[in-house]
Amino acid sequence: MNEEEIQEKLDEYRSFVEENRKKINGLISEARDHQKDISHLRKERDRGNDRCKELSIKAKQMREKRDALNNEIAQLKSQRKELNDKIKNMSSAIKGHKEKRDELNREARGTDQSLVQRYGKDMDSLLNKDISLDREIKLFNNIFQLQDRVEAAKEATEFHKKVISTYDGIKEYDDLADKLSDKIRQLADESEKYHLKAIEIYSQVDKIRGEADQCHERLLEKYKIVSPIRDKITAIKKEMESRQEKMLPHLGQMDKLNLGKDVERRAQKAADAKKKLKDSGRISLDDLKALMDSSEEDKLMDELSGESEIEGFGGEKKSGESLAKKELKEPESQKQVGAGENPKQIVEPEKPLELQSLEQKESGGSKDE
Amino acid sequence: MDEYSPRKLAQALVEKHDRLISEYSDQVEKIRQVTMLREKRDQLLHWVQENGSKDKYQAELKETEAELGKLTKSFEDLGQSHYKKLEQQIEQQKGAKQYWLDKIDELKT
Repeated sequence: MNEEEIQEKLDEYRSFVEENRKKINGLISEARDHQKDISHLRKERDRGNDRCKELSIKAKQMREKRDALNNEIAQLKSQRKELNDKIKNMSSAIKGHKEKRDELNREARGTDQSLVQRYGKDMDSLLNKDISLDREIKLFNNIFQLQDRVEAAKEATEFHKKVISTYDGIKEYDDLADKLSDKIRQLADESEKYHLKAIEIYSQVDKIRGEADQCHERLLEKYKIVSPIRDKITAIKKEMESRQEKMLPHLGQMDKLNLGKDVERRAQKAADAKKKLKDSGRISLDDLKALMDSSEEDKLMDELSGESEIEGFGGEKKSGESLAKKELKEPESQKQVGAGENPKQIVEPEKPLELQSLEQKESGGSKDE
Repeated sequence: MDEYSPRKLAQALVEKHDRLISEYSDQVEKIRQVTMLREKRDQLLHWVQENGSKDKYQAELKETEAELGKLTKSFEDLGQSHYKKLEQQIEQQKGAKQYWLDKIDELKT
């Protein structure tokens, strides 16, 4: 290939690179817009999830307090049940005592006091008064019934005393049960407050979680959008790499040609300097430098004319192709976007080096992108 | 309140009747003495008024009246009907006592 054909190929490649660079930039710009949304949504979602965790801990604390109070209430209820059982048993006992007392009262047909009084009166009549034998016999017979009635009345009084003392005991237990009920009510109110607070917090958690879930859903949608963009960028880059591989030989050839031209130019400059020195006996610093470099020119000419390899600085050998390859080598940072990677890691790749190289050659200097 | 068994009460009744019999018998005896002293006083008074030996009967009359006075002070003289009634009461008490003695025997068995 002659220089024109190589130049044509390189121009073709240059326009391909330019076109794809624009495409990539467009895609990256599009991805960046989505990335902003992704970042915002992720932040919102994470903030929501953090808030949910924080509130859940708080709700758990409320629940634990409520449960502790409920346990205490259960214990107090158990104590109250014991008291109520005792009261129930005592009430049953009272019922039994009352029945017995009433039965004995029916038997006694009078209070023990009145019966004792009557007994004393009858006994006095019987043992001290002059009464008829019939009356004596009647009193004699009655006196033992009276004794039984007095005994029944006394027993009835004893049962009545038991009823009263049991009532007193019941009242005591009732007071204790009332105090327990008050305490239970107080704790239940407190427990309900914690319960309602927990429910309120859980309601907040549900709401916030719903919002976080929505953010997450939108985030996934964004990922779905960004993923094809990433794939497109990767495909374009692969295509560019493929083209780049194909262009490497042409670039090497062009480098050689340019180097030859450069050597010729410098040789001409050295020759001009020699002539100038010869004619005027004076020389500028630039001309002196050209003359000093002229010794190197011969070597370069030899290399360009016969050898395929160029001696590099520091004894390192590099082929023209390898130098060009080095120029075209893509920075590592551009290879970060790949399949399976997080879309947020998509970054705008630096302008490919091959492009920079071409632009530099075109403009004669570096262009800061 | 002292409680009595039937037998004990029956014994107490026998004791009561003994007490009443004794009491009524004393009264009857006193009435008899009063009656007797009154008759003696009337006789002595008659002898003092009718006979000449006044001093002998007069002294005895005085003693009789003193004794009668002393006796009538210790109880109320309710007359012959009361005397009769007391005798009846003694008999009733005796009958009742016997009833209760029989009752005690009955209660033993």
